[in-house]
Amino acid sequence: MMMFSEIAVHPAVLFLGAAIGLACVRSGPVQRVLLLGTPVAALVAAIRLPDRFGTMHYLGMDMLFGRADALSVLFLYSFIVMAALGALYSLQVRSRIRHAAAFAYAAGCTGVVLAGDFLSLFVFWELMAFASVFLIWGGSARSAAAGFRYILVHAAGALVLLAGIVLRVYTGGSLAFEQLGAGGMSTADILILTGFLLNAAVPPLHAWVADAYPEASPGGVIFLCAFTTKTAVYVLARGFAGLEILAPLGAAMALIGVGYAVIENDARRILAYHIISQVGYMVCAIGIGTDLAVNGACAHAFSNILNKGLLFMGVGAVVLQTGRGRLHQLGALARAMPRTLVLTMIGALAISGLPLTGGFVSKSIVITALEQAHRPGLELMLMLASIGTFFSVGIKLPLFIWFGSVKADTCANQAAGDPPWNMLLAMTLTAALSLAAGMFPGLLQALLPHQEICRIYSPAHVSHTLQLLAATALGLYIIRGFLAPKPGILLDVDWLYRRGASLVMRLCAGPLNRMNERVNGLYQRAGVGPAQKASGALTLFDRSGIDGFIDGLAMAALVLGESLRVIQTGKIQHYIGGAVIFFFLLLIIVMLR
Amino acid sequence: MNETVTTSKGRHVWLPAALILILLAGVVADILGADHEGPAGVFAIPGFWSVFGLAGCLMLAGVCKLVARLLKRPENYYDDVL
Amino acid sequence: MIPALPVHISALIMVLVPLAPLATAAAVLAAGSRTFVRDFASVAGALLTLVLVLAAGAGVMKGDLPDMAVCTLYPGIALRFSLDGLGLLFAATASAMWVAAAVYSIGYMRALSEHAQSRFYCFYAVALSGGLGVACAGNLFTLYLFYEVITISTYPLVAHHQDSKSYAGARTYIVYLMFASKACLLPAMAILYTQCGTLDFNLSDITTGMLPGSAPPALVRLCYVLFVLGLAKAALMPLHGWLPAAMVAPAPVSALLHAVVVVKAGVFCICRVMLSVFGTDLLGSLNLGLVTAYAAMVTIIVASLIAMTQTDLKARLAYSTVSQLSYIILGVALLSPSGITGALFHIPAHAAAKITLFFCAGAIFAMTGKKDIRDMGGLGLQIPWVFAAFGIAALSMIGVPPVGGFVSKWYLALGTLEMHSRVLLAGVLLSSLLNAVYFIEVIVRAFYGRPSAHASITCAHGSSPVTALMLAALLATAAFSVILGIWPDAAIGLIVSRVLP
Repeated sequence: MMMFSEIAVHPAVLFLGAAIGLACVRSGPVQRVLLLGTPVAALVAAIRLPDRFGTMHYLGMDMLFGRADALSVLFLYSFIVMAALGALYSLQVRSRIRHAAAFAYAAGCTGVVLAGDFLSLFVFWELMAFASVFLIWGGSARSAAAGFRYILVHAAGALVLLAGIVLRVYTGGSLAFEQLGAGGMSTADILILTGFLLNAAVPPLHAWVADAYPEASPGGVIFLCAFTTKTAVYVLARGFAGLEILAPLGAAMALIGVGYAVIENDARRILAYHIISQVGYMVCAIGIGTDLAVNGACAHAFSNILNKGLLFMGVGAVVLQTGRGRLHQLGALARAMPRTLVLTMIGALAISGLPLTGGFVSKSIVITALEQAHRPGLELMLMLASIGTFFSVGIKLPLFIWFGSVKADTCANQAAGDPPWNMLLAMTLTAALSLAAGMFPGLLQALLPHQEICRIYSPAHVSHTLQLLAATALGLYIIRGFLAPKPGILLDVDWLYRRGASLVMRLCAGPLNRMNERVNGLYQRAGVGPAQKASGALTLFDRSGIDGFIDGLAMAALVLGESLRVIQTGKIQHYIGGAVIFFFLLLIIVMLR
Repeated sequence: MNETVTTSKGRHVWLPAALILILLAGVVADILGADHEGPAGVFAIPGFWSVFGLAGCLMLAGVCKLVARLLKRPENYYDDVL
Repeated sequence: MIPALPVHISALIMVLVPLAPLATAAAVLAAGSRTFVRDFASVAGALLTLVLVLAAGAGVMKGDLPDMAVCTLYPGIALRFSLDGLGLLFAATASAMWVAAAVYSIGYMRALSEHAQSRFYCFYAVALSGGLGVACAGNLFTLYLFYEVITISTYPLVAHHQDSKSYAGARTYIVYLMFASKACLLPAMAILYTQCGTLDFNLSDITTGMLPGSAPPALVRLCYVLFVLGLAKAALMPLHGWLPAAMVAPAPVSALLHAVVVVKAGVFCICRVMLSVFGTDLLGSLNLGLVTAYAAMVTIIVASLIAMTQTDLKARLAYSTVSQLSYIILGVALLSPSGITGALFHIPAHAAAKITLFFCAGAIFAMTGKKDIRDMGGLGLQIPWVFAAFGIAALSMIGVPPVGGFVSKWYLALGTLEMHSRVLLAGVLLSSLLNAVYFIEVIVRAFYGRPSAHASITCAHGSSPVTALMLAALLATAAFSVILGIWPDAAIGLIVSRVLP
């Protein structure tokens, strides 16, 4: 059906259908065909998409499921490519629920980037949240609780978004998803922005990334790191390009993320904080809002999806093969996992922005846009973040995973080897794409939404980048003695809701429940006692003397319940008696009138 | 870990040397290409990014060490809550 | 769809609607110990009732108002039936859910080899008759009459197990409901009668109500408060204590009666009183709508908070019901078109979802013997379909598209804004988050929790035909929940064209 040239097939439909199939199918070959075939079919469908398609009338509003312009299509392609690579990487996993969740998640974010109105956006937004949590659950031993927190944070974010959408609809705003806040930010716009910022992990709404992603399964985190934050970048670019507050917020975000990454001990948590840092570049560029800056944000999203995916694949392979993820428990794996080392290093250097990698191209566009917009302060902040990136991911992470000498408590790791072929192939393809984007910047630039482009490999850029990276490496060489990772976790904003939630639970379980029990017990003291006394006096009226439809019917029911009543203490009779009295009172009122 | 890096110091003398070479090459490139294109102002000073990189790296390490002292908690810190 | 019948034939069929369950009850009694005949009669009766409701309702969808006074006791007080859009919505919901519950009950009662099954099915049907009578009531007198039929016929169902715990629960149940209706509902009716001279509803217009303009405001306020207190089946706090107490009943009772018929009869009556007795204009001008809305909001939040602390699954569901019922009251109390639409849509949406949840709770108990959420670790892997249905219904409760609950949440949120109350909007959304907390916890435990220590779970009825009946019923209601969310147009159309002015 999808091959009919006239019919537009929404990629989300393909992914959703495949997800349902994956949830039901047990057979390994069928599973693999679905896993590898669906992204290909989705890519074909994506290439053939018309500009607008798929309208639906729902709740009195017109929804537009398909709006495929240059901005949407860039993100659409990168999500589908990453879905393919993620599926390949987790091909050996046999969990039906995890594969199904991954593709439902892919359906969610392809749906978001193609959504032409807020309602369909919201539908897929929720799908993303509720599908992705299954990639976290079933990961590490602590993943159940981490996933629970993750889904609650996202449910809260979606509710804020919903409040914004409802407010917008109520105040007569258009449901169409276009640039917002052009004539000043309304309350609705602020709420929508907040919902978006939560998914983009902008501080102080960022803690969920570092809390949940490290606990996800190694295959699942490939999807997680590519999808949620990048769809948020897309919606920000679509709705809030040029919103001034985003520029400093993004730069601060880049620094906060990298600062945590520098001192973090858990390998995957380092990468999670790096997501925050790298998304900071994009948010900052979106805040600048010029055509070139938005291009930079999109290019950086594209290259970062590949680089971060590659890094998570490499570290995931280490975790999978050794069963350990803390830096102080790892080291000296270069001999055991050489291919993983090489491929991961490509990702690490690419994310640090080394020339000839995709990261260099996209960072150059962002930095050039900042220069052209005359924002030296922001440029310095982002450069400082680049230093931190190279510091933590380019040097510290590989150093403590693959180098150093074998110690007593890490020698067990030496038994590990390179991961299965499919994981290595996925990593190789990802690395190749990242390098291709770096070596042929024209390819990436052709996909960008705006015409505005800049020269990537200018001598100044190359020289500045090399100086920055070399100086960082030198600095690290000087202070190498202080780098050793130490066990322990770092406090973050999630402290507020983790401690806060347990306080609320204690209050509910204690005082509130006691109050509830007291209220529920009240009827015993205030209701039953007096009523029993009153109705006791009134049972002189024999219920059998009463006719009338109500009590006749009630009585019939009661006769059937004879066996019950005998054991009861006769309270029913009292109440029936009471009912009868009141009924008579009613009749008296009727008569008197 | 700590001693791992320090004991291998001797073998790695070429490393700082190579890094310093790259920095020098960068500064030379800056001087040669100064008025062709690229940023103006402070950023155009030859070798600015070398200095910034070195200072930034050391500062980042220092600040983060201090922050870590504030924020670091034992692994079981959250065990009693959700 | 069913072709619309002439209005007088619709009226005749409408009168048969409350009688059909009574006939079912009689058939069940007649069948006696022939269990197959009895179970067949129960399901056939449910189906027949559904067909009758739809036949009578086809005309209502078109714009008819079937109406029939069976007998007049006193001037203005008659046994009178009328079926408008609101009544049809409740009647269709209750009878459709009864079909699923009838199938489910067979599986559940047989799986647990419950005693006195004939008595159970009989009173089950009588309670349904009461619920449908309430839906079709054309005046307050008829409404009250069937309201009490529900109360009394449910008593033996709550006390079904006949042990001390179930007697205690049943006593709380009957005392709350009876006392409230006798002490408040009857005086309220009396006051209303003195003011209007009739108890017939004003079914033509929800804005004007039936009270004359000359009614003194103080008396109107008193009357309104008495009505709201008297209709304790709506479980507005602090009159909610009976609902958790009634959870001692077998699961099909909790499912159909305490998620659909009994509690929905309560909120239906409150909707009826607000829309057809007082009218939105009067409630608005006396500020009663806003007060009710805030009371409902307090109930929504507090009940959700309590639900989070409950570890017994059915108790948690009960408090969730208390909370969700107040959504309906809140929506109607907003007195705005969107608010009322959302509220009334929540009647079928909540019914489908909550009956699924109770079905699941019952199926879990029947299949594994577990009641406490803390013991449910790992159960999701053994009975995945049950927990999948639970998850879908939970999504409806949380209000995630495209499941039914989202539609009501959307309209309720719009309604709060039409009332210019951002506090209420925040409350509705906060409650949605609390729902997420206590429902998702169950799912996490079931699929990813560690099996409890004493967990030699034996799926006593792993895949017998008996559990298949339960599964079929709960999957059907879960699917219905999704269908309501994706194609809400029939229900929304009924509300917008037949209830709103």
